[in-house]
Amino acid sequence: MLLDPFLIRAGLAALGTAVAAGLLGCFVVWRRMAYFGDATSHAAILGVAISFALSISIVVGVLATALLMALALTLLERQGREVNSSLGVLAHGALATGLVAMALVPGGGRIDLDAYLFGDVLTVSWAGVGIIWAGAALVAVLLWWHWSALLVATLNPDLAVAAGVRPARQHMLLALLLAVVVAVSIRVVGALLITALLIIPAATARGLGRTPEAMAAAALAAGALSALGGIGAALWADTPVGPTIVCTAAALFGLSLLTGRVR
Amino acid sequence: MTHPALSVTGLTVAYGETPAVFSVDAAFPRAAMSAIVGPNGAGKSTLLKAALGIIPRLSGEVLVEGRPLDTVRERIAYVPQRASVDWDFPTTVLDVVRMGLYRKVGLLGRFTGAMNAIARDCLGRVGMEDFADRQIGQLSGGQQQRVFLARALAQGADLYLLDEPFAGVDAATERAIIDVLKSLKAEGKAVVAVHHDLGSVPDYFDHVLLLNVRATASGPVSEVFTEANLSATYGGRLAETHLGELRLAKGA
Repeated sequence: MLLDPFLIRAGLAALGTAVAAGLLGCFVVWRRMAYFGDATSHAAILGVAISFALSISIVVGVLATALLMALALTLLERQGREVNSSLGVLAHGALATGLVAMALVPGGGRIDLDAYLFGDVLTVSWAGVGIIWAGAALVAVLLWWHWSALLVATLNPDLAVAAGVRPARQHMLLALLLAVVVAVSIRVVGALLITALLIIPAATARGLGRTPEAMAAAALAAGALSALGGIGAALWADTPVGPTIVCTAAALFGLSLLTGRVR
Repeated sequence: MTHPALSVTGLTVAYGETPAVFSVDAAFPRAAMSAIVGPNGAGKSTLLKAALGIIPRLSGEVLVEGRPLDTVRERIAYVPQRASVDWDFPTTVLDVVRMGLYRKVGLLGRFTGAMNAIARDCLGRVGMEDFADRQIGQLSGGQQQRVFLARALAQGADLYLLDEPFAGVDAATERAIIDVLKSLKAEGKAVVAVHHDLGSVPDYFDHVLLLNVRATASGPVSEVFTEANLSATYGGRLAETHLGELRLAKGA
């Protein structure tokens, strides 16, 4: 049978990533945080370089850098300035700094940059799968725990304050979870395509779910289908896995537009 | 002594250097409908939001039934201005009303039938029971406003703060909303609304705060809704003819 252990590991890793990104992606879409996601995930490359320089675990380095970036962005937004261009500067500045740092790190020439930019899920270890699912579980549990408060804060921040919910705290939680998603997704789709995994399944679900819960479930399903379908298609066509997963997600999105039109 | 439902003392709010609300003292009684009235930019919505803690206040005190805001939050319901609600969100009318119950039912309560029964009952009070399963974004402005009132009702609060509840709504909705607010008053609850239509103040409200950054007058409509006070509040912005059409209280 085709199901070699490396394939099972890859499938589980991609599924875990799809769970985390699909759920959080709904809030990224509702709150229009796409650029926020870009900046946080691009900072991950800087995290990879730092991890190599300090000889620490990649997950730890990426998580720490993504967290710092997410917090910096949150504080920037709180200033109430026009943040769009600042986000652009930070997103691409972090990416470029990461790439330069990678070249400066001793032995950096031997780092497989492609694996961090576009993912390398076929070589994931069982420990890697465990980390991804731990991250996915953290995202799912925290979203479940704060679900009502997050929904009210998303629907109307003023209403949330009046009801005793602090929108700033909810926003901080989402920023934190975004960093977690980045840390677990970098192995699967790479830093450049993490935002795609956040946005595309949620956008696909947007036309399918009539309630926030239904949309989250649909985003989860669309993400899982893209992950598994993408791995299958990549093996069949001998294409890179990460980009093929994102292509599959995009194809599903197109399909959802068509069926939405028919209905 | 019984405390008023809501009282503000020395309330000052500023955006940057400019005060939007300056040193306002006002008290809003229980079992009454109160209006906050004044020209555009007078700080009406700002005062309401500062009283709720949505906007930080520079100075002053807000008391709800004599107690600080944070200890009585669940007894206050707020209906925001319609335009400030983000509609790019897949949610049904029933969901929006159930969100008003979120403090009461906690994490698992969302899935119990009791919550749905309360939510549907509140939709019935605003005449929207047939729209429970519609998407909120598909409703007209007036219908959306009624749904948000139902959400406030679901909370079972004692004090209702509404920001321009009649702005941009049809006559049927205005009627439906005013009936609900009058029933709240009959139940002994306090209603405070930012209001812009001077003509309906004497019909709808018992109590009025005339505001133009500073409070120009505050008290029963029958005493303070006078030509002198309105002129002081609006400056030259109210024409003589407009004043003539209003049913004003007799000035002292």
